[in-house]
Amino acid sequence: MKNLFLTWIMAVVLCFYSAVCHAEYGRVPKSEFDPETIKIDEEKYLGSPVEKNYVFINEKGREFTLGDMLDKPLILVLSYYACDGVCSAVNASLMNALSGIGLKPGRDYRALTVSFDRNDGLESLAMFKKHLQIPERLGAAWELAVAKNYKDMESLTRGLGYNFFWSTRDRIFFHPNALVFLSPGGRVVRYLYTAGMSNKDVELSILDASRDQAGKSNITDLGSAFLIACYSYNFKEGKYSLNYPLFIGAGSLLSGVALLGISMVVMARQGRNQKKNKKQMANDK
Amino acid sequence: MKKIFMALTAAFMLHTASAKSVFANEGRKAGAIADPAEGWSRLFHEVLVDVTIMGVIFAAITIYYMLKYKRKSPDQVGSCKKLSAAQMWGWALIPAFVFMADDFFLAANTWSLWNIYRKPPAGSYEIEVRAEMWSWNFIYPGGAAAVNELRVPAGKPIALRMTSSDVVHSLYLSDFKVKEDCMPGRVTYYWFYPKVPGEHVLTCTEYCGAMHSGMYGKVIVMPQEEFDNWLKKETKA
Amino acid sequence: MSAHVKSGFKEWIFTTDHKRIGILYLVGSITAFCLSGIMAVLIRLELWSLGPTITDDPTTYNVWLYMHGAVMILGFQIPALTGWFANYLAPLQIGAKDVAFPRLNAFSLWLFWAGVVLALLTFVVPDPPDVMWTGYPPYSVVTSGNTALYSFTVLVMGFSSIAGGINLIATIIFMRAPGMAWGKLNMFIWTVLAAFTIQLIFVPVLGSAVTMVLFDKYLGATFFNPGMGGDVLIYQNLFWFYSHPAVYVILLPGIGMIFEIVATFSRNRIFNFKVAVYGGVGVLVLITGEVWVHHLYTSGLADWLRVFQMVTTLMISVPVGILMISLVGTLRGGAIDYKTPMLYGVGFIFVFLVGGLTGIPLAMASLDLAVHDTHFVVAHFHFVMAVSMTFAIMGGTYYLFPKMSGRMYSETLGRTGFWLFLIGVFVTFGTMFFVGLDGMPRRYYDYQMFPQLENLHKVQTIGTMIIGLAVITILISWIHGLVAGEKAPSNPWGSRSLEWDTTSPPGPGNFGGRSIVVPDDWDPYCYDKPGRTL
Repeated sequence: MKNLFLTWIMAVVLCFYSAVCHAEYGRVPKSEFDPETIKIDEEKYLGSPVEKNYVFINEKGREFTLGDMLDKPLILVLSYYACDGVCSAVNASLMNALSGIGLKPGRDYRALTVSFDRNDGLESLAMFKKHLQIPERLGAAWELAVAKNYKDMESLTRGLGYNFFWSTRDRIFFHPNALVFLSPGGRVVRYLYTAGMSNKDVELSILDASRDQAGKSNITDLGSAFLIACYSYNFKEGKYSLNYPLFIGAGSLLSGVALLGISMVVMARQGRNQKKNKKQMANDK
Repeated sequence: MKKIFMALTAAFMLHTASAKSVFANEGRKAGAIADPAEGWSRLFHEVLVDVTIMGVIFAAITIYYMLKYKRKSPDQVGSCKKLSAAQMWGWALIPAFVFMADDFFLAANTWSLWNIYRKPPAGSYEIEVRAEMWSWNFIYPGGAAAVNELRVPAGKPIALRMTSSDVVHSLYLSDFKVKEDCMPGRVTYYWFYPKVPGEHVLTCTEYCGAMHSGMYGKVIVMPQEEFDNWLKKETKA
Repeated sequence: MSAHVKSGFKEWIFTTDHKRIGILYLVGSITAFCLSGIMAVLIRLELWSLGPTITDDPTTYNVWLYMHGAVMILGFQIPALTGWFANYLAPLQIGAKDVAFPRLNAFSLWLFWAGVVLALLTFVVPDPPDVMWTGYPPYSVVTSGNTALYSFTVLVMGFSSIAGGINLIATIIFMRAPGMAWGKLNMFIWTVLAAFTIQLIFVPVLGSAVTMVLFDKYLGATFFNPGMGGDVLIYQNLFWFYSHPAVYVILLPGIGMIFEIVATFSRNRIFNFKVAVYGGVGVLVLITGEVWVHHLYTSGLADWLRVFQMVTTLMISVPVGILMISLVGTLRGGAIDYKTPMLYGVGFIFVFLVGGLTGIPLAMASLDLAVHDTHFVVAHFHFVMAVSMTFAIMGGTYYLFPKMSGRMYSETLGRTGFWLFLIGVFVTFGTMFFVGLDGMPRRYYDYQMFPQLENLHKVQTIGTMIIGLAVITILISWIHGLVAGEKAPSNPWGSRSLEWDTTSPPGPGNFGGRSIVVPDDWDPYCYDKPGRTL
């Protein structure tokens, strides 16, 4: 009898609970995410140096420092490996872009993906790398790694102005989907958001990063120098746009030269006609 | 003609001989930091002497001709003959080579000093500069900030990383012989080497509007310890 | 041209005669010179003492600076040298009756006058331009000053200059008198040809740059807005890509005029003429487009570009040195008569020497890092360009005075003016070098941070007053000459050049109906044979 009573009570309580749960469910906000909080303050962080002695471990267990990667311009991807959404998309879009440009991995640039999730380890890293399927051409110049000491990761992301936070509800990290381009001197040259990013933007960012602060360029061919001169970075749209004043200036120089050239030709022709007329007049006389 | 040639060669030899004193900068102790301001003073002095000698010689010749060839009678005419082809080429090529040699010599000197100017030594203390109409903001590693007063520790190379939030400015440290423009959207840099504690003037040297001349401040070079204390205090605040 | 002999107001306004157009250019450019000279005096008075002196509004001071720089260059030096001298002298020296396109010539004159009026509007509009003659964005875009006035002044003057350039180039190529072969031309003709070639090629670049600033400021374009994909530095590059060649547009005809004066008053052949033309003038034209970065040594441009252009900049010493050797060489073995024009001629050598030599440390990129944009630079370019070219303009005007007016100026007044000018220049700009070396930046309304420089600033202001006195003396000597001067003979200086082989002033058609045929052995600088009339 007693048991029956208890069962009844439990049933009522359960019903009440589920009703409350049901009612509460609709009141949970869809997203508490404000994109402004994770926006990088580019003006503040561009040009700032990064520490070079952070130690990372790749999936094979090899240890290396950030400085080891900085003999070339470095594309730094901050991501986490348990992520099944945007992170692999960020890495994949970088992969696509790098496959689509002429610069040679290893010779012209390196790439490094590191995790800012303290729970990531070599296991999740290996899984992620397998999942990503980096082509061989890029593989040699692209490391995926975790920090040996998580403190390093905190100071690295802070130094880059890269804010992220864990959303317990969505069970994902909110973070900027940006690539960070470092110069061989270890300075931040460009943040490139992957949304709407084109291959050209990646290429130009690498070229920009290759021009070290001291003006030393690893990529010295004229084509690249020309390319970089023709574009300038548009902070508002987050991509490179044509450097119109350069073309307008060059066009007006050409028009000046043409002005001189054409007037010379016209004048020469007129001069010749005049001479002919004079000769004819002389002959007529 | 031959005499002139000899004289020019001699002048050129003298010139190259004086080159050594400037290049001596290269032979400084390994590991020691070369001070760009000192290099500047040395090279500027060198060039000043060079230029003065050239100017005095040139002016002296001109004055000599001016006095010697005054017109004595109303009908007098000049006696300058047309030059022969050899003379013509000589008067074109020899001066051209002398000037070019001088140019390359000066360029080489500038180049070695330029490299010192443009390569902050390893271990420089880096301060961020943000210019705005019409003040200088200095942001130290760790977040301490100062306006118009650049406090730096003595005896340490200081690198400045500069940008501007509005128009083009230029941070000029006249005592440290260096300046560079600050622009929106770009990062520029330079370094200087304050050795002894003291105060120096810093000014804006790129026209930036009404208060352009009011955009000045002080470089305060402090002993390292004093600087550390100041920085600690500022960082906390 | 039929109305040429009459000299009513209407005849002057509608004139297409190159001599009258030249004189109208002279009047316009001297007006501009006096106005921007007054600006210079005001600037120096403001700097007389620490703190506000004659105005307490820095913007007013900045407008004076703008006026002084822009009008001196665009309204005085370029028009005086390429408008007044080139228009007046070039057709006479090549034996032409007029320029190739007389109506185009009148058009470019009136465009120039429109430019002067635009520049004068600075005094009238409520927010006058305060962007300096360089007009660097973003300041020129964000300022409340009227940048449009600056842009339009530049565009109108540039347009006028292009029209004048086409005209004079065509004249020199096609209107030379029969027998006037290329080898028989005067030095001045070569320099004018070179200057206008530079002007024609490079002016459009400046035009596009100031037009883009106009679009940025008034139409919301983002050419130079770094936040929106624009580039701040590209304007500075475009601006100096024209404005350095502009220095040679001014320098070449000026030095050409000085050559004429020195040759005439030394009664001597120009020393090493061919080398001066090809190696001096020619090389300057070739080199002119590759040196602009020396204005941008501290701008944060790529280091390799700065160092590369440092070498080309130092190379300028070769053609300029060759020209100077020819100039001094012309004195050698001469029969020098120190009339006023000749005083300016030899004065030019010394002023230019100081300017040129102080340019050497400025050309050296690492030395420039300390003195760039200080008073040292101001002193340098005043010596090398502003004052030396003003000497050329004053000397040339005295030189042509009898030809142009038919009367002689007073030699005493002329010489007094010269000596005052020379002393004033060395007092003002000589002192300025030291002020600059002590760190005084240019374009400063006040110098609170350098109280120790006050006395040197006072010296400069006194020097400026002496220059002002000199200019007044010069103007008086001209007016006195016009009103009360003796009648001038056709060739008062005994020159062998063709422009003196006609009446003073020359009538319509220049040579009184004679058709000039130049003999085979013609040489405008031939003094060792008896003179002749063609």
